Amino acid sequence: MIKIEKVSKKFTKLIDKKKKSEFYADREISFTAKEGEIVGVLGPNGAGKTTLLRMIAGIMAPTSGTIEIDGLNYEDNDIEIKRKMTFLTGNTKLYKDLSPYELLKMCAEYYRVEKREIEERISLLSRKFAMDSFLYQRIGSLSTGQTQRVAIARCLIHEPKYYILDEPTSGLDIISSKVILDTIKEEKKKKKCILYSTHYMEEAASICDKVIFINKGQVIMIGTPEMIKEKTKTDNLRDAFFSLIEGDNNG
Amino acid sequence: MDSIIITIKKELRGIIRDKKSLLMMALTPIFIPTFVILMSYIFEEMTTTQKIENYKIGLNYELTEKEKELLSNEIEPIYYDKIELMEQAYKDKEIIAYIIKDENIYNIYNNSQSEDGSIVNAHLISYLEGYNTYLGQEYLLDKNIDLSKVYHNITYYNNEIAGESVFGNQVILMAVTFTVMAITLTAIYTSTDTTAGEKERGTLETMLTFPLKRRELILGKYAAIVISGIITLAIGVTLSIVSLWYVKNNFSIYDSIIFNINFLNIFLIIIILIFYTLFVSGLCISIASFSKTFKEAQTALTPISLITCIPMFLEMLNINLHGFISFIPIINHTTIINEIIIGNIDFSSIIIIILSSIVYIVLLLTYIVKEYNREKILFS
Repeated sequence: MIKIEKVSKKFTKLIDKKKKSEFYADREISFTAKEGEIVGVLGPNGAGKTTLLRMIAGIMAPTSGTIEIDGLNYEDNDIEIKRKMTFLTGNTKLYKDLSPYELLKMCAEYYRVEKREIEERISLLSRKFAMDSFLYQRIGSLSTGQTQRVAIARCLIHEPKYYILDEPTSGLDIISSKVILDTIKEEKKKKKCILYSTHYMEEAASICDKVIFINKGQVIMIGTPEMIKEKTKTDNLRDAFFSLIEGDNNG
Repeated sequence: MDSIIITIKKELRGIIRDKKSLLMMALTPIFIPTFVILMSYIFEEMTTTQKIENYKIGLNYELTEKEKELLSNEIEPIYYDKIELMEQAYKDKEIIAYIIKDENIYNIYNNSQSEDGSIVNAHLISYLEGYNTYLGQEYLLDKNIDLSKVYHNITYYNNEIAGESVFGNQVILMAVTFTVMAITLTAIYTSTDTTAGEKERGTLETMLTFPLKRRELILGKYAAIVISGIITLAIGVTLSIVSLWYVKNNFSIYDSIIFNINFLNIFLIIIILIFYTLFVSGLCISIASFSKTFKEAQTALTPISLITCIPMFLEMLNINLHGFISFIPIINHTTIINEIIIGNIDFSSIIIIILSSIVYIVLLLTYIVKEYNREKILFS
């Protein structure tokens, strides 16, 4: 289980040549995500979604608050937690000089996948994401859709327990998006825990068990899509979000 | 340890597959034979086509046959009736010096501080000393005195022994300078590519999600840069030895020269160059890591490329390795190489340089590992 408690992240930005100011990208965020659950993190650009997911993935450290994964924290168990996790963003860049095969092998080695299993997993993922025809081509020569398939395969190579996906379908065509969404659904069936941020409210409504609305670095509502719609008396998550931020602005 | 090895493999694969990195690593040393052969050709041209210059001097007296014999071929005497005309000729730079003879007193007028004046001065003193001796011998012969008892008590011969020479040392120094240059450029390019380049390409974020410590990440990158530098070193040293062997056997200027390139010298130079590679790689990765883009890192590292000129400057300034200099990185590496080339092997200095290099490398790596743990360096 992922347990986030009062997590805040403060940054310093330069106003002009000499002046600096501090601001919170995320402020006192708390929630949990369980195995077999897809949790959607929704909010506009600059809401603090990416920073939050980066902290959960262990790329950044929170300024305050605690992040626990299976009862472990990053300060003491950095490597152990990262072995259970994968992180994918919509603009994840892959090594253009490597082939998908080399990339998958390298990732598997980093995650300490048994040597005898590596080849088997690569061929399984290659079939699953139809990568056979370009498995040994340089990634730099692949199309956007092919590259995104390689990026997802990379996430699955070590069979992680937790998926941290930051706008994974952003900018993709519907076919490539479907590949990602189908993978998310499949992994949920395997009792994996998926944290998923997106701009696309309809997409989130269709796959998320739980939704967290974030605005200006703060959680404005958490609940199932149905519950949120009911509470905000709206028909869809988009309207629900606008009604919540209007209320927030009026308040 | 496994994560470091995986990172090294990943970085080396990237370096080898990147044409620019490969070019920097393998092709820069190709300048070594090109320049060694070219410089040898220029040196040979200089020595074979250098014409003997005639220095014109003024005299107010006629030379005897013996004096003509004693005066160097390089000196061309011009006779003047009047001293004023001779002085005017000196002022007009028609002659470089003049001698005024008054009975048996000879006054040389010359600026011996100038380059040509000092040469002429030596010739004129030699001529007058010789003539003085000749007159003494004539006097003794008149008196029937055995000249050998006065002038030929000892016999000496001047035999040329093959040894070091300016040309020989310069051509070896050039080979070493280009090797140092190639190593430095490789370290600059690969450290830029593996740190700032990785940030710019957006792959660093992916790396940070992998289960590896930041320390392992930076050490893996550092090791890959060092390996690239050592490959360049190996190519550079091999090409240096081959090109020096070639010029030694094909250019007559090196006929009587012994190049100080025996097994021990080569071994010591390689050891020093390895520590230079380790140091300069650490320095480059430390600087490049603060840059956000490839271009920014290259700008920051440009001053490092000037390091490549240090061996030549040290040779020009004739700096010797002593206490304090032994601890200044890069200068100590290049100075000790210069010393080894001319045959001055000081093992205590070599040990000091190796130990101080290890200390600097550890400090640089500790610093950059610490910085890599800060988010500012990764996400600024």
